Amino acid sequence: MAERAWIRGAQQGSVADLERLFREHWPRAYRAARLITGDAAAAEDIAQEAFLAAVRNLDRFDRRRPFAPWLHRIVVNRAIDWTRARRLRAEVELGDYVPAPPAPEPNGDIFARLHDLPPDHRAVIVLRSLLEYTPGEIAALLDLPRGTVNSRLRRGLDRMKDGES
Amino acid sequence: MNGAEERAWEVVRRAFDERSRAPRRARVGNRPLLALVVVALGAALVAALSPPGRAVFQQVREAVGVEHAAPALFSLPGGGRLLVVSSRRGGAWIVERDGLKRDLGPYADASWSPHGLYVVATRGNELVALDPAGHVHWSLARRAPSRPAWNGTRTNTRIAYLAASGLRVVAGDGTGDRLLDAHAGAIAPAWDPARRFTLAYYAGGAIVLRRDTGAVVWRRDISIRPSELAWSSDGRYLAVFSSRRVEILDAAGRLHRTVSMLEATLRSGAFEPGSHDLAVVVRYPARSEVYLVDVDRPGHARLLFAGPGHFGDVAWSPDGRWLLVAWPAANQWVFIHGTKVHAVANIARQFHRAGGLGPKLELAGRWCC
Repeated sequence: MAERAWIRGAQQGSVADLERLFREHWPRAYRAARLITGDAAAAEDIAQEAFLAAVRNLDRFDRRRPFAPWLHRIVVNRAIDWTRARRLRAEVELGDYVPAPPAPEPNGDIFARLHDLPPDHRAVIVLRSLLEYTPGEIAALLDLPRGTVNSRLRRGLDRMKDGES
Repeated sequence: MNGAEERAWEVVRRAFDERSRAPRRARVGNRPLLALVVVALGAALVAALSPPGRAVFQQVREAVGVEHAAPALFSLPGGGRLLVVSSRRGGAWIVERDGLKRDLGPYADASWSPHGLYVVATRGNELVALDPAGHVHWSLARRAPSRPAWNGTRTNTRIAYLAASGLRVVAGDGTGDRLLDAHAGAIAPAWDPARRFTLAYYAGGAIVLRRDTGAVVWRRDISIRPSELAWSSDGRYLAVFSSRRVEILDAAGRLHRTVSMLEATLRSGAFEPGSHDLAVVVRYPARSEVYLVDVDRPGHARLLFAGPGHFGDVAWSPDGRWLLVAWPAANQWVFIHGTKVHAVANIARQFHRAGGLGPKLELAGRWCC
């Protein structure tokens, strides 16, 4: 598999292999962070820091394991934290702060409905629909019981459907 | 490919290069990198490492800063001399280490000479060189001069400044004044400490490093609108501040890394002398924080101080042991050294001039030898 070769190459110091790994995984990492946070700048920071973590931990990475779940776990957890913190901040601080509206999305309606969900529901739906993980894999990624993942998926999708009508 | 991807790739590649150069030592003992977003006390976000006990630490700092402030600036904790400027028609003062304060006059901007023997200041359409006693040695009539910066040796110096005509350079004795770049933006130029008479400035969407002879060393296009430039004391890094992020360029103008604090506005900052630790002032809607960011180690930052309202500039003592943080909202200055905090109250009253507009006091780069 090419990815294993890229990881091995990067571990041996190959910038070209690192770049292949980066180019392969950046779009989905960024997109996932963007969908969960609703903030382009935050998504860029989160995805970038995830790749920096990858560089820092490259030697310790077991290349028999797939790279994407490890990266996505970081991205999604950071994005959830960021989104929760932003909500909390909006509640506890003075009322003169109005966050900038999100940049236009290709499918603005779905984007808006996704952002009506709590961040942990949002994350589960992004992991399932965008990154195509199974509920079992999502449970492992987020350290959640599988039943919780299923219920968040169901409730989240139901709420999005309600918003559609 | 897009801008975000390219910016991120450049930062990741730089981190990879550095890992390759120092593969073992850099990794031993590093704490986990990816504490990108940390929630503390339900309000604080940190795009960096969060130390244990951060919330308690923060509360203690706030309490000390507010409750135990000295009523006046009796002395400078870190020694040296401080050049204080109120840009709101307030004037310029020099504060000696024992607290002696000297009013230089109604200057709008001021900066030390390289060894603290003189001060260059601006007022109206005049660039003025004066000694620390306030005696004027020479003055140069130019339209709307501002942001002077002095650099060089004891025997050969240059002053860069902005004027209506653009970025200009004049010798330390007031001779040889000339236009360097008519398109320079309105942020202060910053002399490169490692290259003789070479300065960085903003022009036309790029950071330019140029010799005073006019030769361009490098030019780096940037996507941010910079508000301030700050060199590390060894000239290895140039921090380009904007409200959303700091871009750290290396000596060749390549992007080394970016620093950003999610949901926050970056105000200003300065490199600790003799290190690659960058003090960064971060503003949230109702509070501010100061972090010390290790630009050599992505993700490593330390909260130094936090408080309600907005912080202003920061300045390092010449020996790098103390960091001075201006806190206009509390009318205080806060001197920080490790876990020690020394706050001074009533700052606006101590630097008041009739007709001035009040307490907007600037500090950056003005704590001298």
